[in-house]
Amino acid sequence: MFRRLIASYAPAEQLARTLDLFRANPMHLQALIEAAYYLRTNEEGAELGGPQRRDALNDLPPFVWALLENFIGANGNAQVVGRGNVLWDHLIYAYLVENTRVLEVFQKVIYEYVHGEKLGTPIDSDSLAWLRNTEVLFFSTANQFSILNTVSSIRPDKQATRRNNYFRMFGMDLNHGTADGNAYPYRRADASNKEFVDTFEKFLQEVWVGISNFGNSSGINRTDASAIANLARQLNIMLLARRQNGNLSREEFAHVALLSWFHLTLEVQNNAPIIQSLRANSSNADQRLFKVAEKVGVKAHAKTYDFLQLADPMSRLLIQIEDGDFNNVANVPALYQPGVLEDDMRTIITHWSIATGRDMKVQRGKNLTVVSNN
Amino acid sequence: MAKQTTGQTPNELEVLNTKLLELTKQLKSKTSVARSQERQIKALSAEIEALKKEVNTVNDQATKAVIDTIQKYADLKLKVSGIGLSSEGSGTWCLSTPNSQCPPLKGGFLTT
Repeated sequence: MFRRLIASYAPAEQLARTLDLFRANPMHLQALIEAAYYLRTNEEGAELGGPQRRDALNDLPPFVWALLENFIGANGNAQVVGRGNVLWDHLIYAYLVENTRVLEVFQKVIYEYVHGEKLGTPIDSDSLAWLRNTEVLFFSTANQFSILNTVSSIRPDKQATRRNNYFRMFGMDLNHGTADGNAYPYRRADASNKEFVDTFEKFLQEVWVGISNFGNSSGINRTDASAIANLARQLNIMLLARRQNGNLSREEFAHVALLSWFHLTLEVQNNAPIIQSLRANSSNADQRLFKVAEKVGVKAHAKTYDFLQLADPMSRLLIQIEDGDFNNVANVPALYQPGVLEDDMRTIITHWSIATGRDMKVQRGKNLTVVSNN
Repeated sequence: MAKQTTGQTPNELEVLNTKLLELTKQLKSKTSVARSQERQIKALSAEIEALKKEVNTVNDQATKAVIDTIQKYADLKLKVSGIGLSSEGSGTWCLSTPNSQCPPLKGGFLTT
């Protein structure tokens, strides 16, 4: 979400836009978030809940949109973006990034900065702006009408809501519990995709067979496009079943926005102001998180690198699976034929294997050893 | 008719004549078979050509389906993550931040 907002074709401009974003007044950021949702994909006739039409909730009243447009669109950019174009990351993105424990780490950072000077004082006003924006947008009770608001007297705990949503969509909980090592309490819904992991792993294994057999000029080609299409169809059905009529779309948007803010904070080239303030400079996002985590005494997940590597490609893959593209056998070779998608499939297969410890490069009967980067 | 040769009896001539007639008949038959086979070969060649065209069409369609799927994925890369922006085009969405504008739309890769 936020990473998409700063996207630019010029790296220098991208950095400038990121710093602008961190410096912005929280009301401005709130306006950007509301506008992004207002401009969401809305293809007429597309399946409600699917990527091309995430929900059909009533739009902002015209006078509110006019206000937002005036606020963020002085250069006419909101009109350039146009309605029906904004598509955010899949919920799996939020799940994978949250598994790094980035939220717990930065929550402790903010706690220390607002309660004393254990970490020193913020080194500049940009760090201070980041602290204010992060606290106000993500650790306060959101405006009750905001699209980010997922808190009420019925579901007062944001983290429990996110865990509930992850469990419903993927049948998985986060890999960490409470700070004292106990299981995090949250409601596990009966209607959840408990078969997601098993089906997805079979899908990855079949795609790997396709990748390793592609271009075979002799010998047996074990690629089974029909099996891949069948597994893709199962994934498509189970994911869309949780999204019927736009269910979970609003929550997904809020969770993805939250995690993308912290992901962006970690991956800024030349280190974000708050990273500099914490003297946690590094050339890699995962190393920055480890350094920050060490400063505040909260352990980041050892497989952070793998989770971050998985987040983007898995988000795109699941969106395309939800679109039903791989239900058609004719489209399946795109997964293992050399190209941008096959590159990302290799990334997913490799890092999923490392993150889970389960080998996705199994070739029906033959097992290969998982390479670990630890 | 066979020409009478010195030293050959009329009987021998008749035998030779019969043989000649038989050979002519066989030749005609073989020519007919050859022509028939030629026609068959031509028909089969035409059929093979038609099948080749059909296979190419199917292959083209299969290739197009794969290319379209990969292209859609590349579009998602740009649309969802904003990754891969180049001077050839800008993303489908980008909202201005307070002090900077989004890159201008340049068409090309994605123009919607």
